[in-house]
Amino acid sequence: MIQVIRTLLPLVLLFGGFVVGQSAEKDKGLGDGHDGNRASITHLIDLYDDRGKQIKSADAQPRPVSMRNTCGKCHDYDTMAAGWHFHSGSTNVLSGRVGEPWVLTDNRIRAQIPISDRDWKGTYKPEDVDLNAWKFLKKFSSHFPGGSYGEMAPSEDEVGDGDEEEVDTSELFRWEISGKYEINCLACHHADRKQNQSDAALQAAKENYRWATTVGSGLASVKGTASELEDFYDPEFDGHKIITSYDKSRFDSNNKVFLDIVRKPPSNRCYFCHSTQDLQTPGKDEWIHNEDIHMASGMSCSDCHRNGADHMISRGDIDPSKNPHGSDDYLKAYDLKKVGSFSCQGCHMGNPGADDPGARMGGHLGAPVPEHKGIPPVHFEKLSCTACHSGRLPTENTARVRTARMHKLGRHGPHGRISPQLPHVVTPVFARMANGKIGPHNMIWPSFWGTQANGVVKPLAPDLVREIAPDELGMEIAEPERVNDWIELTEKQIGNVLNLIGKYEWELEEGETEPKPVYVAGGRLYSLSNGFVISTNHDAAEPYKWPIAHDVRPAAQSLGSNGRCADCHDKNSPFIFGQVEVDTPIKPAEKQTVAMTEFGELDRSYFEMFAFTFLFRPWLKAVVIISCVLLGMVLLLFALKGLDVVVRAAGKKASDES
Amino acid sequence: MFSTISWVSLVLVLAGIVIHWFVSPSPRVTKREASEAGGGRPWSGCCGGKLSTLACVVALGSLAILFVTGFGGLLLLDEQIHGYTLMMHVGLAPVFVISAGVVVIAWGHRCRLDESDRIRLASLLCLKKPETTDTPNLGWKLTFWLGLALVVPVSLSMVLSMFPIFGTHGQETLLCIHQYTSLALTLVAMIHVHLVIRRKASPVPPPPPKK
Repeated sequence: MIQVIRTLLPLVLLFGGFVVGQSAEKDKGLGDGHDGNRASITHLIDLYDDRGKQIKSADAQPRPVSMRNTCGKCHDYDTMAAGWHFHSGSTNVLSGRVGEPWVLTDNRIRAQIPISDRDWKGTYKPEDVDLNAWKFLKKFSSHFPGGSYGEMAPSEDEVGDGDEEEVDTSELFRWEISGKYEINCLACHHADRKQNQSDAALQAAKENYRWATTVGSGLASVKGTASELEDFYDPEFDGHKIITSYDKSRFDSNNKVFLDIVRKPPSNRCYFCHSTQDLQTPGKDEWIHNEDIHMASGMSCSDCHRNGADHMISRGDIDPSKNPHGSDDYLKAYDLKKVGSFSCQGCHMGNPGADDPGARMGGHLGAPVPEHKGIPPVHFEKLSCTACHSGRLPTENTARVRTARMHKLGRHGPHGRISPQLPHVVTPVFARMANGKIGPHNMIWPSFWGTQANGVVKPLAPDLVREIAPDELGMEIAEPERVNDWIELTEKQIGNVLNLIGKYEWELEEGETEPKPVYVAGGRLYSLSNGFVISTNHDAAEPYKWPIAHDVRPAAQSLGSNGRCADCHDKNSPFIFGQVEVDTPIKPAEKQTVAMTEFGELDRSYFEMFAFTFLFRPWLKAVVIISCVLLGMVLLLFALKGLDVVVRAAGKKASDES
Repeated sequence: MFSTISWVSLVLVLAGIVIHWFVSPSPRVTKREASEAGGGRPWSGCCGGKLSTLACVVALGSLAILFVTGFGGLLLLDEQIHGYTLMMHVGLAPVFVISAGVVVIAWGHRCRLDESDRIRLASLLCLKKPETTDTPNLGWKLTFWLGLALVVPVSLSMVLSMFPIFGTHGQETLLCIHQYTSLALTLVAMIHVHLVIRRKASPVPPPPPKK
């Protein structure tokens, strides 16, 4: 018996190892590796629906394509879901460098609230404003990459089980009708010009989440609107009210479909969510704008913003050798030795921490090594590359921009008629970055009704505020007058609304402090004191800003280019002495500003004096050069005289010896 | 690196000066010699009178302030010059350069090396014992010329960096040149002042009558 066991045990262990190895390889995904061949892979593939059934051209009632089941056949969907674009709603979300948040806006209650799951100072979690996955999608799905909240449909077990965070039964039904908004792989990787994210956004607006990817890709057209169907809609009993019609010409005789999938997403795909519109020259003057200089030279976004199967796209951190965010988790997920090579410095000057000797030398894709003639090196210690090279050229007052995600740009169709102006994004704000350097930022001034307890301010959900103070906020007025896009808010109104919020009966736990009603706007925290409205400074009222790096301007249009010190060191230089707009619904017609130096943490009087000295800089140069020439000539004169003496002495010595 | 070199060289030169002060006998020169070369009162009696005296005082005073502003932060706090200190440093630099120009014009002729200095220098260069035993002028004259020669790279290195000629590497090299030549200038100026101060005018006994 023992002999038998001895013989069989190694075989069993060997088999076990083989099985584990196979399953590990299977997790990797057939398409996630790279065999070294640079030719693109032709994606003539089977399509699968969310039930795992293959979609065929002859299907009577075909369902939309499921990315999890179609792409997931060869690619590890869950690995991709851990990438920057898709993990924001997960429990182990990485913060990373501060970035553009989602912004919850409500013009009627005068609110613009930065929202993010990441631990970015100044943002609020979706749950703080009563946004669960369903509500989040309803607000932000037009420019949503899928995954994350899109797949957080509650299970039936979570409904009405008595937990504190009980799931709304109605929402459960809505999820069933709309389906999950899976990661929309085609939104980035489908190079076909038919790919239309505007159509995907339209489907999302109709709550047709399950269909968004299919319609966006041009594979099928869809009739029907999920949001118009009743909660108890069941296609089995009520008949199909959302009809998916595939373009049959896309299917071959084996029911395979060719998708023009590319490893590197074209920039056009990125632009849908990552465009910025300069509001100083909107509309008919858009044509005067240039693209980012990298684009103009023929590059694409993904040349620098690269990623592996994990989709942790490099974010172009300025200092490639340092941990840009002080987060250990970040470092684990993000190998700076590699991604740092695709930062400004990494490409143009080399990444000193890279393992690859080529990456240490820089010059990726022919990136020129900048000479920075006439610029003292101290500038590179104090300023990020973007300070001089990126964003809008600074002017006396900051400008405004709209971004694709915040303002839902790029929707062409009936859903694109509403063109939101809120939030007001102010740019460029030259502020101190996390790494201590000054760089350009986009910025919004948070504005919301909220409560303050133990010093902590939290916003109230806009819907709740609408419910508490509909009359005071003028909900009944159909077309309220707007000034600077805001419906003006008076201090009297603020006082009245705060009073109403104060009277609201909160569900407090034992020992919990009664929250104090507050309003945040324009950098001030408004509250009631003895019945009067007072305003104070508070961290919660601080503007939310995030560094920007695009568009990168040509070298000739960079600040300080070709020795133009006055671009910054002049008493009128907007880089230092510009004024940053304070955006607020309180007295919106008045021009309210804050000095740029406040954000750069700069001593204004020092820089004024420093700029003043530059008036004398030409004199200094002239005086020093003239003095040096004079000194040189006198030195030469005496040197020649000395030489004369030496020659004479040498001659005298020679004649004495002879 | 530069900070260490600065500390070491400053300590060595100061120690050398102290040792020299106590060990080496003071040179003895005639009043006439002292007067001719500005000996007893080093900054007086030369051509231009008050102007050259003023130029000397201004040059040395501004050099001292430039040294403190330029090296103070680096040596004591290990930080580069910045802020108001930088502004003072840059503002005083032209004053120093102009006064150095005046000094070289006013003092150049008197500080020229004469025959005895030449012989002494030649002997030193050939590692020979000089024929003349008492040549007290060579040291301070040499440091005078060396110091003024250093003013040129010190000044030009910074002025050139203000033109869009040199890139980052060039700028760093210019800064390096400025730092090291400034250090050398400071050290040379210290030795020069020491030698001039030591060169007190004292009456030399008259030579014995010829028999």
